[in-house]
Amino acid sequence: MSREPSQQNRDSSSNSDRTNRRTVLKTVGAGAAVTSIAGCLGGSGGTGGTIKIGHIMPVETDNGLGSERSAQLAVDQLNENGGILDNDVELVTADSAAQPSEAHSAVTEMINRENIQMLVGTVVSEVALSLADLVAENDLPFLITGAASPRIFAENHAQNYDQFKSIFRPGPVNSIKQAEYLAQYGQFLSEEHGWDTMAVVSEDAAWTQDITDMTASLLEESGIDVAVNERVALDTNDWTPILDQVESSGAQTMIGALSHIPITGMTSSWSRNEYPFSLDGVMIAAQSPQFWSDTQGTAEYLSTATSAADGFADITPKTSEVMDAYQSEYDSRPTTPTFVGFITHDAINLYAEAVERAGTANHREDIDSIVEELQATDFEGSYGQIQFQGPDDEYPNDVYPGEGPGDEFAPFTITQWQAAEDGNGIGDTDGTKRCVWPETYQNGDHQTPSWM
Amino acid sequence: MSNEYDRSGEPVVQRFTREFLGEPNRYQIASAGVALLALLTVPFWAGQYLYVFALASIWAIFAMGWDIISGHTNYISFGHSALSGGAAYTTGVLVHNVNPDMAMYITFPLSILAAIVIGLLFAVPTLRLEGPYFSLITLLGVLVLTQLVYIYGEYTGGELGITAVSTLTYNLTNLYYYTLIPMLLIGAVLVVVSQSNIGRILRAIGENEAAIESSGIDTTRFKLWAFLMSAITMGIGGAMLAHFYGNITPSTVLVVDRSLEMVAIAVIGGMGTIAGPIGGAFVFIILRDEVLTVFGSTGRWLALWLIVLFFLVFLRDGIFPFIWSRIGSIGGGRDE
Repeated sequence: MSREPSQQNRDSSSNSDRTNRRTVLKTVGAGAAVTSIAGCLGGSGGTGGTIKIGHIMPVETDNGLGSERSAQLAVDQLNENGGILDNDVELVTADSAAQPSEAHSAVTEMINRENIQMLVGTVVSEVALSLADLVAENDLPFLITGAASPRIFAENHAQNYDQFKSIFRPGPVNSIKQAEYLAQYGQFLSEEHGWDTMAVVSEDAAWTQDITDMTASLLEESGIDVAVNERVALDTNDWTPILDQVESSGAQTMIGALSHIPITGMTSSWSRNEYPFSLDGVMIAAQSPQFWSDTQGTAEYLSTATSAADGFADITPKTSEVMDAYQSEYDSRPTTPTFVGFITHDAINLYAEAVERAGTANHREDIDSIVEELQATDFEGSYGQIQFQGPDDEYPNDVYPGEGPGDEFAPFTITQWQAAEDGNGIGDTDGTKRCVWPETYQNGDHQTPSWM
Repeated sequence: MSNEYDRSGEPVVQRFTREFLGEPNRYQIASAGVALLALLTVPFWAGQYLYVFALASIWAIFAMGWDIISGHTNYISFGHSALSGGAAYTTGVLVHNVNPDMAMYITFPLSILAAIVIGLLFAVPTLRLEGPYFSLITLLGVLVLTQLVYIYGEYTGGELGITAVSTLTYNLTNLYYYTLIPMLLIGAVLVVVSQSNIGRILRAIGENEAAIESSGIDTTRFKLWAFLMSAITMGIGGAMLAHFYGNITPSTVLVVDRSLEMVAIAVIGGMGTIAGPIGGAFVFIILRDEVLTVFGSTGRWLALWLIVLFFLVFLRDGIFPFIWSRIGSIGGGRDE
């Protein structure tokens, strides 16, 4: 059975509309000044028995919708266990459409109309960055669950911690770490298969800059020849020249960093033409549990970086709990929480624990207590153990990345699309995902394409 | 339009309204007054929509800026967001690269100047050309500028944009008046221009440029002036938008979609009327951000563009000229 979280929000927003309108009428009747109305509408932060959690994501993408449903799941579970501080919890969600301006408007409305106590979400870094000032101004706890730019913390917290103290990132690790880990994964492939030549192909977007700059040079340092290090335009349709270039370079794998550019066409072209190299990297579309069916099975052997191994390996005991709860609630696309969903689920739960410890969720009056308890977080989440970096660290409030990708703290995993045994594939397909790296969480070997 | 000037004893206010609003009947005056009063008192009757209304005010500035050149002369610009986006990016680039604490009294005029310069670069050479060249070149202008933003990502932040700009205010009531009042002032100036002889010539250029030229009027000069006014208006709006969001990204201020929205607003509101696009902006933004959101973020755009299409087909003059003439015909109708 699938539910409609957005319907609930519409109902709840019309409730608050009524309240607001009454407030307005009363105030106008009293002939009060304009500014006092703004005060009433802005709210004081204390709500009558309900704690509202705002969720902002591009909900028309698999990652965004997976996150929204996982957030609803977390909220339902909290309510079954008595809510937060004996208050009911309510989810208010909005669609950012991956646009900073949309998100800014939506969050302004959530703060002023819905009086949310906490905000969770964002996968696109420019969206997170554009919300920083707004949430900081409102002392609103903001837990970022997908956007990976280190700038969020380097440009805000590191400059003025007190102003931006309410913004945290429970995961994933930032893009600099991701670039570093990707190079380590390249070394793993080199050791595993004896590969000595690789290609790095990134889409021309800011989030891939660290991969272009760092991944390639780290690979070179470890003795791997990076024969191609290309940035491709965001509107690339025809992949043939790029695939040909990688082939002629002699690379045994193409490490891609592709999010905005659709890759279903590239994937089937690579598979059907049997290009003699492996496809690895950060392939956002391939994180979706429906990528196998989207590519009619040609996704086999393609691997991508993700968190929580997209639910296909037991990173912590909670991983399968969230996965199972999600799947018993939702059977439409995306059929798994997606990596963002796991982190969002964790974010809401660690927030709930922090405000329970703080004894208040009233961010307008007591943000310091809430921030203090968030800072003290040591939470076993579904994607890993979560702690935050301290105010004096390089990236204050960003997730503590641990010692490496296989560490218990904020693990970084690579999953590969593989053929499933005896019809145990995702949905009705014969494809599944296995975690192939790092070794700590591995439940399958990295396979080279059968035609290589 | 009547051109009787032999009314020397006429009171100033009466003469002003006759000159600039035609000869409105009392219903028209009353409804214009009610609309103005409604805008000024939004915090009292629609407090929760302040943010949307504030955004609509900025879009009203853009639509008027577009209208004074394209709505009047029929030189249709498909790239006006190059002007507003250029202004917004000037504010952002200055704050981001030169001095994060640079005061608005420095960034604001420079942003307006940037809009004028961009206008001169792309549009002015083409104002002499007839046919589709003006439209095509403005369209290319915005495409070129968008790519430049990506190429010079080091300074512009690329698709991540610039987030260093200070927000006008987080108090929504103040925010509303900070956007409404400049919008009304710009609107007042442009209505006066539009209803003056300059405006008449601009509209006449739109109807039959050759005829105007043959009567000895240098149409290029008028188009230049109109474009200059347009660029200044776009510059003001662009810099305001940068401070409204506190961030500047190509998708927020620059891409060609934003240009098309300006055209759509003017079409819905009533091209060539200045006041029409103001109303059009409120209708458009409220539809976009409040009403049509029930269709989801993609469905909303589809619905919105279908509505615009509907207007193009069935109500080509726009909502407000239509309403205005309907109200004008109440009680016998002095409409021509």
